[in-house]
Amino acid sequence: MTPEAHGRQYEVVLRGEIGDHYALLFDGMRLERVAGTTVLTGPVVDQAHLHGVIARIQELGIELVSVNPVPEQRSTS
Amino acid sequence: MTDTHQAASRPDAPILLVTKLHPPAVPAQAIARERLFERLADGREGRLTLVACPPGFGKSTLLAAWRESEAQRRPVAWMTVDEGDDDAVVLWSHVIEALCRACPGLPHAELSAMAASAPVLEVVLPRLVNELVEQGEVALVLDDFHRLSSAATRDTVAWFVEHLPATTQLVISTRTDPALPLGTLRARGQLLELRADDLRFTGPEAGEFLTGRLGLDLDPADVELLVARTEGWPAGIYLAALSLAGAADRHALVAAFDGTSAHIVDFLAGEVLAAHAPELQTFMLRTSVLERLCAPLCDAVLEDDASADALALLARTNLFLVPLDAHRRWYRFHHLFAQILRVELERREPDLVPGLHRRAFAWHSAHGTTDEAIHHAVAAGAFAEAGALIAETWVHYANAGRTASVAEWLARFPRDLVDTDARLLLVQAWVAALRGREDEMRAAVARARALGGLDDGPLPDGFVSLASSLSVLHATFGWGDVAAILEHGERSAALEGVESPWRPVITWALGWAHYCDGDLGAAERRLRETVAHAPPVDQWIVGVAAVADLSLIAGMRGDRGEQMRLALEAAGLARERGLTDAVEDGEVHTALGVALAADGRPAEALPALEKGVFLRRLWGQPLDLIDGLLGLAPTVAAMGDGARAAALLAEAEALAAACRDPGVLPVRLAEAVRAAGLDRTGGAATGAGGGSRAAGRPGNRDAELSERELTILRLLTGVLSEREIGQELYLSFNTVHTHVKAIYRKLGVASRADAVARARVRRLL
Repeated sequence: MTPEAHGRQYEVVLRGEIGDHYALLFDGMRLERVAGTTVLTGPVVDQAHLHGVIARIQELGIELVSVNPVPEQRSTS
Repeated sequence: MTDTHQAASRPDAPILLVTKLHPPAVPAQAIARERLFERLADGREGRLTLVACPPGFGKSTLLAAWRESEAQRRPVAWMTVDEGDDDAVVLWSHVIEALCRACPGLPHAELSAMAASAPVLEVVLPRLVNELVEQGEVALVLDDFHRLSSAATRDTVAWFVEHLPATTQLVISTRTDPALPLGTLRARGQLLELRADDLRFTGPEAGEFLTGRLGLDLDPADVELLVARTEGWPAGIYLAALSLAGAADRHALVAAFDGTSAHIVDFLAGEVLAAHAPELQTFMLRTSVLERLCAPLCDAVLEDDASADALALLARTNLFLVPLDAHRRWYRFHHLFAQILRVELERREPDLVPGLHRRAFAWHSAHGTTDEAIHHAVAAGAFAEAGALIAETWVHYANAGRTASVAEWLARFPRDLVDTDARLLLVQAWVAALRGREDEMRAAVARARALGGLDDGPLPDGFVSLASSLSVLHATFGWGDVAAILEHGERSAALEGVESPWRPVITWALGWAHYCDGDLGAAERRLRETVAHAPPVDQWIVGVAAVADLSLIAGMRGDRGEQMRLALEAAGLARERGLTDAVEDGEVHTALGVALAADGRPAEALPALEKGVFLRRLWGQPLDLIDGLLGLAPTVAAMGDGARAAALLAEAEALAAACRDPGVLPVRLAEAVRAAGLDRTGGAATGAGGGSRAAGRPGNRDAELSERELTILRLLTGVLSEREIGQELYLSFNTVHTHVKAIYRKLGVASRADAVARARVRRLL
C-alpha cells in the first residue's frame, strides 16, 4: 500500500447536470456544470473518503465518468 | 405477527430478522420480463448467477418476480443481505433459515443450532453443503450482496460457491462486482451474468409498463423519447411515470424533460415530490432517515398519529415504497428514492435530522431491535446512548458468537470517545479476547487502566465494577498463565458475590486453572459450584465445560464409571444447548474421547478427540489446546500411528514451553511421552519443542527438595488452599504457587494428591 496524500485535491466528473444542493452529499466539494456533465472538485482526505464519494454517486444512480487527482499547480490557481 | 424471533434451540442465538427472508412484494404494475426469466433459468447449469448493475435497474423486482414463477418448479430461498451480515454467524444463520423454509426436508433445528455456535467455514458450511446434496434442485437468492463488506465473511461465500452441489443454483444480486473468484468461474463456464445493459427497458417493455400497466396513455413517440432520454434505466422511467401521473399535459412534461440538460434524477425528483400533497411530501422526507418503516415507528419519529394512512396511500401509488412482508406492516423506500429524499431533507430541514434519528433510536431501543437502535443513535451523534446500549447488550451478542458485530459497532465511534470510556474499552477487550486476539485485548486493557476510576460500578453487563470486569477477563483468558488465572480468579471471586451472573464464569476459570495445576480437589470444588450456579443465569458455555472438566478429573482419579457418566452428560447438555460445535466448549469432545479411550474403545474415541483438538485450536488458548493434544496423542499411538502421536506431543511441548505458567501440563506431557513409548523412538520429534523447558524432564526429578519446599509439602497434606498456605507462612500466593510447581516437578507428579502419595513413598513426610 502506498501512503495516502492528505487532503489531496480531486476532480470527479459525472454524466448529467445535477443541482447545487447535491454538493451537500459530497462534503462541500465544489460543483460545476459543464456541457452535460457535472464536475466535483475538492479535497479528499483519504481512500475511505474517496470511496465514500463514489458510493454516494452510485446510490444516486449517477454515472461516473472519471476520477482524477488534480496536479498541485492547478489546485492552487 | 412478530418481526423478530429467536432461533430454535439456543437462547443466545442471533436474532433473526424474518423480513430479510421475504423477497420484496412484486408491485402489481411490474411487467413480466420473460426474456430475463429465461436467462435466469439457464443459470441452473452453472454454479453462480450474478445480477450486477447500479441501483435503479430493478434487480430486486426482477428476482422477486422470477422467484414467484420459478417456485412452481423448484424451491427458491430468498435472503436480503445487509450490513449486519458482515458477521458470518448472522449471514449463515439467515441463509440456513431461508433454505430450511424453502426446503422442509432440511434438518432445521439441528442446522440452526449449529449455525449459532459452530465455526462457520470448518463445520457449518461443509454440513450445509452435504445436506443440500440430498435436497434435489434448489435456488438460493442473495439480494443486495454489495452490502457485505467483510472480506472474511465474503470468503465463506466464496467457499460455498466453490463447493455447491450441481443441483443448487446461487443467484447473487449486487451493485458492484463481488470479490468472488469470478474469473475462474467464467473460464469454467460456471458463471451466468446479467448486467446493466441486459436490464435496461426496451421500447416495448417501457410501452407495456407506461401504457399497459399504468394506463398513462402516452403517445408512442413520447415513450420512445423517454426511453432514449433515460437510456432505458428503469428507475428513471419509474420516476418519470410518477411525475407524469400527476401532470396535466403529459406531452409537455416529456418534451421539457427531453429539452433539459439536467440530470434525470435531479429533474424528476423535484417533479415526483411536487406530484404529492404537501403532507405526504413531509412524511416521505422525514421518514427517509429510516432503513425500514412501519406505522408505529413512523408515528414515533414524526410525533404524529397518521402514519398508517400515509403508508397505505403511498404503498398504493408510489412504486418506490417497497413492502417487506406479506402483511404489509414493514416497508422500505427504494434505495435510490431514499437517497433523493435524504438529500432533499438535508436541504430543506437540516436541523431536524438528528432529532429524527434520536426518536428512531428510542423506538428501536424500546422494541428490542438493538442493531437498528445503535445505528440511529450513532447517526444522531448520540454516542452516549449508543455506548450505554452496547455496554448493556454485548454479552448477549458475544454469547451468540456475534463478537464481530460488537467490534463493528465500536469501530463506528469516534476514536477518542472509546479511548476515554473505560466501559467501552472493556467491551473492546472482551470482544478481542473472544476472537483470540491477545494483543488487541491487552492494548484495550492498558488504555482502560490508564483512565483510572476502576472502582466505578456496577456495570450494565452485571459486573460490580470495572476492576471486576478486568479481573474476570484475565481469569477467563489466561493466555497460557495458570498463576495469573488463579490470582485473577480469586480476586474476581472476592469482588463478585454469589448472586452475580458472572459467578459461574469465575468458578469455572478457577476450576480449570486448578485442573491445569494438578490440584484436583480444589478443581472439583470450583467446577461443582459452576455446575450448580450456571443454569439459573444462562451461563451455559461454562456450565457445559465444567461437566466435561469434571469427567476428565474423574478419569485421572481412576473412577471410570463417573468419568463416562459425566462425559455423556456434558455431550448431552452441549447438544441441548446448541453448543456441540462451539469453539468455547471443545473440552466436551476431549472428555468424551478420553472416557471412550479409557473404556477400551479407541476407534470410537478418535473422532471425538480429533474434534476436541480442532475446536480448541480455534479457541486460541494454549492451555486448552495442550490439554486437547494430551487427550488425543495416546489414542493416535494406540491406533498405530506413533509418528503422528510424537508430532502431536511435540506440538504440545512447544506450546507449553511458550506458556508463562503451564501448571503441571509439562509433567503430564512427559508422562504421556513415556507411556506411549515415544521417549526414545520419537525422540527427534519430541525434542523439537520441549528442549528449552526443564519441567518434567526425568533428569530433574530426583533433585532434592529445599527446606521451604518441604515445609509447603507438609502443608499440602492438609486441606489448606495454596492461598491459605501463603497466609500461614506469610508468603505471597505467587511465591507459594512457584514452590508448589517446583515440588511437583521434582517429584514428577501432576497433582497435589499424587505429590503427597509420592512423598510418602519416598519417605519425605
